[in-house]
Amino acid sequence: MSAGDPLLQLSIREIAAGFRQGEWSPIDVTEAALRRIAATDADVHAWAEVAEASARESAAVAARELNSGVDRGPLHGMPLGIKDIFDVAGMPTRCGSRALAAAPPARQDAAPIASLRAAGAVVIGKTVTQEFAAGVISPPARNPWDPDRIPGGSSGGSAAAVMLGHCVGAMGSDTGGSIRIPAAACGAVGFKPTFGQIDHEGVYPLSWSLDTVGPIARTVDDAWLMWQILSGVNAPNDAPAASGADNLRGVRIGVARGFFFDGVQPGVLASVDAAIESLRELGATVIDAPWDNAAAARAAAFIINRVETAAVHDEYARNEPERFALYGDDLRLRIAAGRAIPATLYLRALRARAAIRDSMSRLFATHELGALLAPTLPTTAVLADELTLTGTGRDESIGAGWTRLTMPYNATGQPVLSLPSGFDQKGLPVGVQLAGAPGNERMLFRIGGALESALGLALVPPLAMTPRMEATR
Amino acid sequence: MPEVYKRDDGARDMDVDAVLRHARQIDPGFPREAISRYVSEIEQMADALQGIDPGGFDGLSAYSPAWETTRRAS
Repeated sequence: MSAGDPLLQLSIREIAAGFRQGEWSPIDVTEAALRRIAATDADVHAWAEVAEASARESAAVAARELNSGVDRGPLHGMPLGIKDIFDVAGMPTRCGSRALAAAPPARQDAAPIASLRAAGAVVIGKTVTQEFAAGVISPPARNPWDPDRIPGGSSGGSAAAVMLGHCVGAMGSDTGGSIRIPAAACGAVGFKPTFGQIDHEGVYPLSWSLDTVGPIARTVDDAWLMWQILSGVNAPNDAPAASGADNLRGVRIGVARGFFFDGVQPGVLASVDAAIESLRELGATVIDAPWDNAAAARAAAFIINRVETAAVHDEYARNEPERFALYGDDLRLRIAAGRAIPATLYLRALRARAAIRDSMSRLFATHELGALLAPTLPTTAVLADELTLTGTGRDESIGAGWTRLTMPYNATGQPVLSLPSGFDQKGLPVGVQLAGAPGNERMLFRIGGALESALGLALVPPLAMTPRMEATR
Repeated sequence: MPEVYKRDDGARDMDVDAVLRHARQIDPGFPREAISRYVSEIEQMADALQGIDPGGFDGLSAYSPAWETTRRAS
């Protein structure tokens, strides 16, 4: 229990049980979340907009429903944060861009938000995103473990908010790693679902051939519960993340040596190696399973991403120069350069993607894998005023370096779960990613849950322990 | 559309000046060195795709028959 709000350090199942046992109500949890935001958001700037009034209204409705016997399941009454590229009815979708500063309120919820609301979730507000979800820095959001550092991105506000108890879970999007990257940098759990699995109508696109949406949460089981609602697989009593001794016996886990372990900080490698050892102790069979097409997969995803991003923003770039001038310099350059990529290269990348995806499925079949393991990021969180990667032996920008290990899986489209594996010598969280087979997401959550339990990490940032403030902002 | 290739044997060796001219149609202020860095990144990625035998044109789907074998195995 923390000195902050102990209620918001509980898992979704624990909070939900308290609702049904009359220990607390959705109103209590939402008020606690709003107090945490008031107490610590000035340090991390995780929120683009907090919808206090509508959150209180939703919480009151959720409480009344539960009192009258209407039970919408495990997310009923849970306060969630929504990345500001998702439409939320009554709130503007500004996408972290000055170009959309005057956006009108959305008329309806994006499809994933409608699913969450139907399950009784309470929308607390919109979390900070890198401009149009294109990047890994997420200004002005900062890292909950050290506010001098970045939270990662592009769903940086969502990961920071979750870790500080501003909400019990949050929505992110992942086109090149934007769920997994901030999850790893902030010590959260992030799940990139299989491409095409979750309807994302009403979510601002970055690259339509790669875009996915999914949950960021504090525990593997919390992410599982959110994913179940988002994907329509609603079996709340199924709990693959519940661990037990030796419960991974018979599970084969590949370690993607080579591409995914080169150019990685020693502190990250040590933490990931410790996680691998824990998996062995849990009874899993761990084997080396290098994937020869990883570099090509990253390249295909990179090219597709750049061309489609340019196409998404083409109208503004060509016909609305005054609006386009309000974009950040990096994104304007990226769009301008993306427009010049030859169509032949784009089509080659799309065609290569099919071959790359098939090579991954063969790797799984050959080794009978339940999951393929790799670090999520090559480094831990970097300082916001330096933005340089050190200790990797490579000269690369943070944008290239921090997507190097995540982007290959956007090319294959397979599901990937990122969870904390430990800390580096500076006390910053390290993430490990488990890639799985489409349709066998349950296996990832089973492995992730067992690993999470075995590691038993204390994942409450010191900032989350600051004393409670009674007033909300 | 300006010609961005220096060669016609594939998507390599993009002409930085041509890309810069193209970009400056959008914003005359784009610096050459930044465009050059982007072009270099794109060329590296194009190189990494060399040697991949195209698998067809169903690249939008994450699913393939091979995954069925995987699911049975796991």
